[in-house]
Amino acid sequence: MGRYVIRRLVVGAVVLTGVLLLTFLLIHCMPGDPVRSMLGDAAQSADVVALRHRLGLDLPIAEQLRRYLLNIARLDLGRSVYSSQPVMMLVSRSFRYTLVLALAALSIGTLSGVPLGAFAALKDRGWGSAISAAASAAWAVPVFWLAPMLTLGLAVKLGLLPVSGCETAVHMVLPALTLAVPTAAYLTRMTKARVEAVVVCDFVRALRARGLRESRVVALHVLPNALVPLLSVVALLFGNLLAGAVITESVFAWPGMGRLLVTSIAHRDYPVIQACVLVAACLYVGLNLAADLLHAALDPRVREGLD
Amino acid sequence: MGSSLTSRPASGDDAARGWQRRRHGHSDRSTSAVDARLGAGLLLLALPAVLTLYSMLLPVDSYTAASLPERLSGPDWRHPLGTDELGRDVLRRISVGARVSLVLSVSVVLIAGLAGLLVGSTAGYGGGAVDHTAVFLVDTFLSFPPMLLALALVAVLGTGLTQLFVGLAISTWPGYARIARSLVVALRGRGFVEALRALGASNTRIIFRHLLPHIAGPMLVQAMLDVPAVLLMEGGMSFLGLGVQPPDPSWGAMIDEGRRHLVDDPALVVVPGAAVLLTVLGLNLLGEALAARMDPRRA
Repeated sequence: MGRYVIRRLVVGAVVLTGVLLLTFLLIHCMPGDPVRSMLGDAAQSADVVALRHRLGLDLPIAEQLRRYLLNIARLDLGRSVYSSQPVMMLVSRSFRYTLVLALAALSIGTLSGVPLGAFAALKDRGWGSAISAAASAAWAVPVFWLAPMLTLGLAVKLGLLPVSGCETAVHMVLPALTLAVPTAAYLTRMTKARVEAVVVCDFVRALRARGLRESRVVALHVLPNALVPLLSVVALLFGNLLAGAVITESVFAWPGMGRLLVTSIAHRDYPVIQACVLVAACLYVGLNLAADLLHAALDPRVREGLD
Repeated sequence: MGSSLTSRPASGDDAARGWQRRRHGHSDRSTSAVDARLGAGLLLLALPAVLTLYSMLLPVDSYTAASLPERLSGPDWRHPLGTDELGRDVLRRISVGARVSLVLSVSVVLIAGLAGLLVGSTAGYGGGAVDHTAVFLVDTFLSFPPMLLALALVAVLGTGLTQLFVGLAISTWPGYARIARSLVVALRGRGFVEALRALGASNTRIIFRHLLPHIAGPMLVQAMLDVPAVLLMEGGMSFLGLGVQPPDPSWGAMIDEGRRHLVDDPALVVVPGAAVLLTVLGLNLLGEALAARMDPRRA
């Protein structure tokens, strides 16, 4: 286990270095002058020089990279070009909203998707295929359509929920539902496939041959074996929810990181864009690492298969 | 470091994972169920296909010309699906949107697939420093959620069809590189490759004539499953105003424009959304059927 953890941590550190470099390069890949495009065509040249100096873009590239890494180590992400607020503050404030929303969506999605998938796998015909078909259809629903449709149905026609905003917990219901639908659909499909794969294993046949009750076989043997590999799937979905709620947050005016990213793109606020991308990628890497380590702790085959 | 290629899931990994799962032999779906998926998928895809064909018959600009007196009119014989807020024919815009979305997502997948295939197979076959560099690159790109990377690239490159294409392709290629690499690594040590080397075959010949046919199946499955994923990303970005730019129609942008009339004319949101849903569902079913068909153990 120790060797596995060390190797996995090294891989994580290497990937994180890559993420830092790529995010740094992002602003340097821009065709033309980033400072000019931030300030617009009508900008005074003195302002352009001043902003370039403030962002450190007039320094040699090696020096820029050094400062960038140093600042990140100090958790200083600079200031927003648009609002002049510290980027770290903007990002951490919006992250809290995103985290709450992602947790809500993930809980709804997992609590509905996993039981549905297991049920569909264990009941072969009828309900089983109906659930699979529904999951296939739900997986194909575009979020940018689901969001306005749920608004129309639940908020406008029935008047049950607020259309958008973030003042009360009720405001979270629509965005959380929107994000939970694809999450649940994906988990239903993955759970069904995993359970189907385990049910036909020899050890399950042996347990049945020994005369164990079917409920016992399923609850104590099939499900644990099927669900452990789903951990990494759930971590991946969580990462996607933290980073990929861009559309949902924009539609429902939920002040999370996705919405921050979209408004920063509209304002050409590159320090904030850079920070959003960096934070999302780091979360993604961290979650994957956590899922892998947990998976290895629960399943000896994972850590032994590595060496 | 190479181990991370197999131990860490990535969003683009479905085909490889499904592949492995089926190879271990437990999919009990009968052939008829696969055929049903194939049939349903093809049937659903008839819709975007017909729309695309129709869009090619349209006179140029007929789908961008505004006609304010006819704005937000319901369906009639001249406009079977009604008109939008500028009086433009919804059916025509949906058809052109189908062409834009399909051509874009298929070409993104083709280019990204080829790039990934090239990088992945070279790295897997070459090994050593080349492999380490490629794995580092691929792992780095895969650390970014794909949609976010595409958005960030468009933010930096600017909006437009070319930039959208580049953004989507850059966030899609690493998935293919990873799959191609792991497949080639698995093949590299096999007897037939050694025999080819002993016979004096060049590396290029071994890769292109002998390894590619082996990995083409899983790569194709992944590509089929990625087309709908890219289509959804394109739709989402166009919805946010960062994809296909007006006056060109796109399903995502049409849904966004229609949102302003959600209450008085919900059809403007419902219709393009249904087009996306049915197309993505059709592509998914087709991809799944293909995945099941191409599994060597089930043939």
